[in-house]
Amino acid sequence: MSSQGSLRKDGRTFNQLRGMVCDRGLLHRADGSAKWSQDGTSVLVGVYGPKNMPPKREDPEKAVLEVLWKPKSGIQGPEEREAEIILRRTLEAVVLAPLFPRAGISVVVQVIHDDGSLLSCAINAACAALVDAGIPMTGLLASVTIALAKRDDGAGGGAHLQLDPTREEQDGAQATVCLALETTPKAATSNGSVEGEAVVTSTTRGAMAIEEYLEALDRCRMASRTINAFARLSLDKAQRRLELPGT
Amino acid sequence: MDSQLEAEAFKRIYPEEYFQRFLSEGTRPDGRPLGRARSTTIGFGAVSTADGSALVKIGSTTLLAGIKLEVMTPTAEAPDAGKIAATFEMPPLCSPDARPERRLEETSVVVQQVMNAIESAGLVNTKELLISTGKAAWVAYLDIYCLDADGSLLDAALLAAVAAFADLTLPPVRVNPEGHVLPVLSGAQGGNLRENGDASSEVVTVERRKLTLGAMPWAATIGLYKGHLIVDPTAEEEALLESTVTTILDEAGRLISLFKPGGITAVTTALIQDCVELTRHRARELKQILEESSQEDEDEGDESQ
Amino acid sequence: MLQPEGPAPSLDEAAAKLAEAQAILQSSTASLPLVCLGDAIDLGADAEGGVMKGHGTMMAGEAQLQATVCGLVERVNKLVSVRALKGRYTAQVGDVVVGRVTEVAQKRWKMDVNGKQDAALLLASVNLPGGVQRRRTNVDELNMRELYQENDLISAEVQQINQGDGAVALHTRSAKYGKLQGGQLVTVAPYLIKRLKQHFVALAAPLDVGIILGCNGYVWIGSKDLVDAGGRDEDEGMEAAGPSGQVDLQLRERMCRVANAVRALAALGLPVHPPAIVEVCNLSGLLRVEIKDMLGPEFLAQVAYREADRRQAEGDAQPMDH
Repeated sequence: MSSQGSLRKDGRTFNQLRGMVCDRGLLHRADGSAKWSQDGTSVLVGVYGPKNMPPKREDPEKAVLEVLWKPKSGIQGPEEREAEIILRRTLEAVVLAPLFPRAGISVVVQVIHDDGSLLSCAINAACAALVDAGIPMTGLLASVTIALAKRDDGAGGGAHLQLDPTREEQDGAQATVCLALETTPKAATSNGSVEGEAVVTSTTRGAMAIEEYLEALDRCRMASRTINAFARLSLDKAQRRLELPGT
Repeated sequence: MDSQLEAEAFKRIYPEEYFQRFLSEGTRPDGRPLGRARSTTIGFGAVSTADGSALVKIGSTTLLAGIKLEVMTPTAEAPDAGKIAATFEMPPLCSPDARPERRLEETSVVVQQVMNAIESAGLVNTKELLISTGKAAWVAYLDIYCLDADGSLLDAALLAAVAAFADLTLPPVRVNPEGHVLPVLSGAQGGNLRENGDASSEVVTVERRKLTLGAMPWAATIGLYKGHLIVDPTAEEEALLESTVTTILDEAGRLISLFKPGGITAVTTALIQDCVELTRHRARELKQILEESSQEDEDEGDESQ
Repeated sequence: MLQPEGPAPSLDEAAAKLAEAQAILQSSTASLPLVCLGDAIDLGADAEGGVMKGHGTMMAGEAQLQATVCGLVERVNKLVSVRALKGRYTAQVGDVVVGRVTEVAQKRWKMDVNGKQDAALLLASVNLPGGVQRRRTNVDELNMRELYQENDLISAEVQQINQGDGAVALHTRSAKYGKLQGGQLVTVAPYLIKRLKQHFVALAAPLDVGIILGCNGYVWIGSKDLVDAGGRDEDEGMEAAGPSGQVDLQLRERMCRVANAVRALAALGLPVHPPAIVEVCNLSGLLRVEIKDMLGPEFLAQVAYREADRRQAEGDAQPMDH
């Protein structure tokens, strides 16, 4: 990889995530809420449920998850509708819906500011909000975006993979990959090697070589561990804030 | 007759077990091996009133794509390019789940992914849609209709869109001094253009022309079910699948998209590589089908003239 | 300490004091067996005997128990479960709840009880007016709205819980249950209300109000007569408890003070039970805090300090064993 020493516009190395902040319990009327920020990108998610669902939409075997995605300004467009569907299917992978038959869980996403990696930020925020609401899940998800910068001419070639891109980096990239990963690596396989974390959701833009995608996947795996560690720390702090009645 | 009824009843009551019985033999209810896609056909020029159109069938899944060209003023940011606007509709006739008042979620996902694939692959160079810099350009309204939804809608929709663009012919036009775009009349009158007193008109094109298409994206939707990879699932199979992965490659083998929208199971690196291999195979198939259909279409066109 | 006659401290100072008080309270949680979502639960000595997995846990691989929620690990013999704190009300048979009617359906009322689904109050589970015991006829069904209408507040008891989907059935087959009016409802998180012997409490003078601590987090503050034995006439059965007309100013002020005391406890995350409520009210009286200032950071800080001191004293008296 060339130009490993050069820094990005905001001073980060290509393998560096932005600073993350997670606040929980911001919305008092929601069962759970979380605001996840990755520097300039910030998303607030409110979770309502499990709650009553009108008979027309209830599922007798499990809870019905619905996602509402509100853009920063303007009304919902086709991108927001697609994002709702992707987020809903992503959360369905971890929420233990069969525990609440005939109930409904509403996840409302409000984009506060978009400076790149928006879907990743929303997935992280939604997971944090679901945990805040006390909804049982099979595990946490960690989502991260990678941008493949256009090849530099004359700098020895080799697009480098920029982790957690800003809006500018994302728009100017040759391709971007957004992944949501499980946070528990699979058990060791038969030949003794340990498989990395599995991919729950993948969406890409732009064209890239397959090898570049697989390398991006490995980088995302490493980054997801950092994100998961941060999420756990924030969870632990939030837990202790809730006073426990004398045991 | 009895055993036929029994089989139907079993399928209704225990759809998962029914499906698994086939899988354990390495096949599927319609007899296909797990890695084979359904038979695919492409019909060009299905809609005579459209500037470009194609009807695609993958098994029972039937999609129709049509392109209508209209004139627009190019934007200030891109004064020398046109644009493409896509819609995807699932009218109630295509599926028992589709109703006029409730949009199925596939509609939002498919149209976004088709546009993403076209842009990422660079299929269409929007600069070719230019008529006159800063004054006029074509906007290609790509409308895709699902006539029969039997699984793998994204594959068929993308194929139909690609074929429609291959079929698209830009009509010859001229721009008059007021900046209006007018059609060029064909035949004898076309040649007399200058003598008609329109000497000041800027003749943009004289002949009909096709777009020079860039890399073509080919999609393969693969379903995951208990560790099996199931290529090109039907609607019945899709209802049972744990999750699906749609891989889109171009003929050079570049990855145009790897779309896995959540789902109950997650994929490992090994499974991703398997999906890519299966898609490579399918891309070759589709490319061949397109070329053959295109050749047939040309031959027919030559014959009718 | 807050000086009743001195200049009021600035908002920042008050907020800082509150944060400090809360930190003291939180430090007592350090030793509790809290677990995060996804953590493996230590099976401990029970591992050989096998464990039964309870709520909030799932098997992850061989003999590995994983938490599916964040909360406190509870072990009862072989049963290991994780109790999440936040979350909707989970009913148990016999709980006293306060609910609001959302819908009048066929032969039942649908009630909002802050649970995962709306609870059902069957027509067969209420006392008919006049205390009559008979089969419910079609006429009764048509007159359901005479008894309870949409948005009525009702105290009831959980009769049964459907095994299959957790649907809750309520009943008001006792004189003390029924429609509530002429009072105030305060909503708190369900985990703050512990199950007590008596959920209908009459607070003694000078407070002189009656409260109903619904296990679902809905707390009703009303006049004392709803709590007195036979507060409703046995014969009348279905009469609403509490004054239906204008409530006099004195009673209203007392009810507001108690309501704010409940809110203050909830804001600090302290359990809401009658002694605590009375103590907070007394403290507000002692410090001459206006009712409207009871939810301000200065008063909350005082409540928190008091609680911290009390725990300290308790801790010194008997060493905590974990």
